[in-house]
Amino acid sequence: MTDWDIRDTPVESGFAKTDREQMLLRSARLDVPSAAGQQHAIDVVLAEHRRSRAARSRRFGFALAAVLVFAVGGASLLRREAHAPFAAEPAATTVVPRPARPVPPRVLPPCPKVVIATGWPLLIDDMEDQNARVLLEDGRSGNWSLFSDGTGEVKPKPGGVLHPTRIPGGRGESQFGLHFAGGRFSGWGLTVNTGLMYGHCYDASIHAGVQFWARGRSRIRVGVRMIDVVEPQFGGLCERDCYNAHTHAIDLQPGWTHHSVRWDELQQAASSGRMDLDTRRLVSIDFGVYTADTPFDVWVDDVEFLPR
Amino acid sequence: MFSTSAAGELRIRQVMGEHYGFVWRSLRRLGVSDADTDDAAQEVFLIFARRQQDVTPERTRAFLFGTAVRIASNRRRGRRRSPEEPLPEIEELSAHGGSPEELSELSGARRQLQSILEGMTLEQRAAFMLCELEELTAPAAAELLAVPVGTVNSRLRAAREVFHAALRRLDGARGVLRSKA
Repeated sequence: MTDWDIRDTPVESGFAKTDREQMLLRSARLDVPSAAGQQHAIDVVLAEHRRSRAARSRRFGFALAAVLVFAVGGASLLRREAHAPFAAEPAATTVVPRPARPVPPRVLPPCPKVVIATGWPLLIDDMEDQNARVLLEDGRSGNWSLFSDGTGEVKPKPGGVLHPTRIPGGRGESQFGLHFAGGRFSGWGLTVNTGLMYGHCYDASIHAGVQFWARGRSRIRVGVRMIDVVEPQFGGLCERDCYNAHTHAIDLQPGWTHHSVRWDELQQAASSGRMDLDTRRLVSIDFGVYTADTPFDVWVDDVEFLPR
Repeated sequence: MFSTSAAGELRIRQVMGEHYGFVWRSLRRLGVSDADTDDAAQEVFLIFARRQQDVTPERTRAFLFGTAVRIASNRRRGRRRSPEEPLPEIEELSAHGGSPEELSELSGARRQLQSILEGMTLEQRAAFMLCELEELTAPAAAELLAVPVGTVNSRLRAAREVFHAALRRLDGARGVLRSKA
């Protein structure tokens, strides 16, 4: 075993052999925070914690009061109507606000497992490693894959992983990107996507969206899938009307262009009822081409999260 | 509600008591200037306090470290650190014990270490500081960095090459100075 072998033991037994190296590494022990600094930080963090809790409580109190006001108003209206032998005459002077019909928020089932992004690094994949796997960073793991409805020609062959391709002439320092092109389709189209961590909800709420470089001819749909739109056989929780991803349409330019898509720009197709995007429950990043936007020729590179 | 609030405060106190030193050292070694480290550490724990309900106890250290790396990265991007930034003087360091000569030597070594770390990428630096300075095993570092052990190993190998190359350069420079003298 050489000094350069990776050990499962701490440093003393391996790497630092010379006195000089030991001295350098030992000098790092001089870096210690002051007790006063630590106490100050604790005081500040606790004060901020109390302040934000108080603000939340106030908001909760206002909301509760509003609900009570509407509920009391609604109940009194109902009582008046129940006791009146005839339809009640409209009040001449007082207008009682009609209680808002409460819309219960859709309760989503708990995630089986969760990975919380710390926010660093932003880069999901720069494709330069030429493999289909995204960078194994910040809890992410997945492969770029290409799937189509099978109604049109597409290159490369769909139904499997999508490897990066050499960019003719490069793009600055970048030499590789994802490339997919095809003819006219007649079904739902095709999608290129990568999972973020199979079987987990990936909490990307620390980010503001996604960003990437692209070029091509046609319109693409960039978006994310929540675990709630993916079928259980693929690690999701969806039981019906699945694969309604949250997306945003982008018209590509012939030259390389940088695009940023913020979470609040993403929407589901309206056909099967909408679900609010919850960026704590993501399972994949998607680049889709709808049938209406075929034929197509698309390059995508340097896919990253967008920082807040 | 009170008990939830009290439990939240208790957890913040416990986490800050247990991990403040680690976070502070990490920020310092990730290139945050001495003057900024207290603020940056505070920022890490403010983020933790806001998101503590999402962070399981077993992921706390990894969450704090990931947040520290991101904040260090942002601060480095925002402000290039001056290589001549003053480090604490001998009198301040004397609280750590040792003779003035030893402390003087350690202080110089620390300055050199900081400049060597500056030559590493953030990824290499994170692996190096966890394995060589915090003395964690590669699997433990991999867990904190949320990357496979193999990735830690390759980053650590690259960081060690940077470390040795920097030492050779420093030795070469000293040799030149000696020969001129």
